[in-house]
Amino acid sequence: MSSFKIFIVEDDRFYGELLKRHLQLNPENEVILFQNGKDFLNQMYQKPDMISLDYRLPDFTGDIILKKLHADYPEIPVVMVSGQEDVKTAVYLIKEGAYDYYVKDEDTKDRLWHIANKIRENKKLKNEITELKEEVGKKYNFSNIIGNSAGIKSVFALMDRALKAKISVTITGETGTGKELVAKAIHYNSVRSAQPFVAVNVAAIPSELIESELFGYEKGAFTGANARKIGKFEQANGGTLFLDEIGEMNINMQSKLLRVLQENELTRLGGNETVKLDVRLIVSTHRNLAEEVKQGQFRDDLYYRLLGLPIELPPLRQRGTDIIILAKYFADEFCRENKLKPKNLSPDTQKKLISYSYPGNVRELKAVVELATVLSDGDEIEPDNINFNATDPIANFLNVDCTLEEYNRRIISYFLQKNDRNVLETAKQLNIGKSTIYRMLKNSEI
Amino acid sequence: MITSSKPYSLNKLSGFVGDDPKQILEMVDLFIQTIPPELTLLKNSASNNLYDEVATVAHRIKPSIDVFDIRDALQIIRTLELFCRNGQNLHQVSALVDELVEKISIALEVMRGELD
Repeated sequence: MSSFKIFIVEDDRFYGELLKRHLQLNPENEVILFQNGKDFLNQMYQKPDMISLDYRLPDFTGDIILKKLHADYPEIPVVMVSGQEDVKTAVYLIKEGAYDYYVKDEDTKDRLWHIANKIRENKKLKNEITELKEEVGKKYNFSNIIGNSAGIKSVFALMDRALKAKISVTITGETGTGKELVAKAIHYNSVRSAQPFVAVNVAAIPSELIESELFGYEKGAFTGANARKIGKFEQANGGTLFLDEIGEMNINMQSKLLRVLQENELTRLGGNETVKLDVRLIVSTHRNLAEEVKQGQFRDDLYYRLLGLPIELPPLRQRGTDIIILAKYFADEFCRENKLKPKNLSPDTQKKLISYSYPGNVRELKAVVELATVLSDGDEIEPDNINFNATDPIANFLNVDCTLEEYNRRIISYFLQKNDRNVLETAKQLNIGKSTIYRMLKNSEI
Repeated sequence: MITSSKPYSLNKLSGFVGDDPKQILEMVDLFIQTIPPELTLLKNSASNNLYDEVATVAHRIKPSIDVFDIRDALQIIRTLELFCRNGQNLHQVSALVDELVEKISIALEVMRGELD
């Protein structure tokens, strides 16, 4: 049980002791009592979680101490206590930074109890948020982006450059290559890591809603706008905004986005107030934006504004043995999360994994490996446990860069499997000698 | 609200510290120790027409008096603080202090008797 330290500053020894004992009814509370401002200030190095401060003390008035505390320890909530109800004093003290204000009367004990509970809950939530932020930071550490291929190494080099300056980043790559993962890794390893990372999938938001989603709106801006809403840009202020599938944004919205990026400020829909922005923008698309510009689908001025540092993520099929490294990583992670014994990839499984083209890229590989881990009975994942989902296998393997010999091997393997490993039928269908197939089987080539 | 013939009540006190008799006794004992010097200070200040000091002491002990619901004492101490703070009816201050001291002293006497 973590201790919650409360300082009570109360010149009446009896009343202070009374409050102390009341708060100590919760064993989480560690309460220390002071009868004057000087003794209390001398102990502030202990950094309590909450202070209950009497407005009238023998050596100071509460407002003087409050100002000092607010300047030196702005994060510590100070609850002001007074012997009489005085709304003006209460309002003044709250304006000066007091967390709350209560009067010594019949409700004192309940009020103080609730305030302490509220502050303790806030502290717990803040601690949880800090821990979660640290967790997220670890999760998106560069070391968690797996691979040794030349393609992924050049991505690492570019990501490293992206950390060093507030430059827009454009991430391109096929679906499932990890564009959002790279965007998060850039954010959580940059100086903005303590600030929000806000992701928006442009393709998932209807075009008529995207403006209000990004820029927010004021109450009454349109029918149904019952309260002010803060947009994604404002939510990301100080941090990073990731606009996924920016290529899907319509041309009208593109010009509004360009204006916000040029001015570094926005006005909520239906509002007059200008909001200053300090947002690092990362965009991604699976489209060729330069081509979209040529075709008039994407504004060239926005294109150049966004381009910044371009990072192109290679498709998985071009990452060679990264497939095996990733597959092993996904299998280990899945086993760990599900409390299973770790499973290896048999040599044949590795061969099968590497021979596929992964139109869904890393996302598909992860799904394939996780299913294989569930289907496998022993300590090893066998080829039979691997199930690919591509609907057009011929088109699928034509995507792969390999030699003619490898293509031949794949074609024969595919038809052999289709014909229930009937060599004669396969040879007849492909118009090749059956001895070719027998030889390949003997040499474990297929 | 006085719920018995005693000139004070422990209801509010047990509301603060719970029903543990040991805690209640310790707090009554603390009240018996801390209040008399304050009453002396109050009397001396009133005798010397130090009305700001009277107001300060009255303000300080008012919540403790309230905790024990000492018969009529809370109303007297409120009036006392108000008069001294605003410089009104100062001729009544000494009489109010005497009355307050008497009420509290009676309560303290009963408390001491119960503690013994």
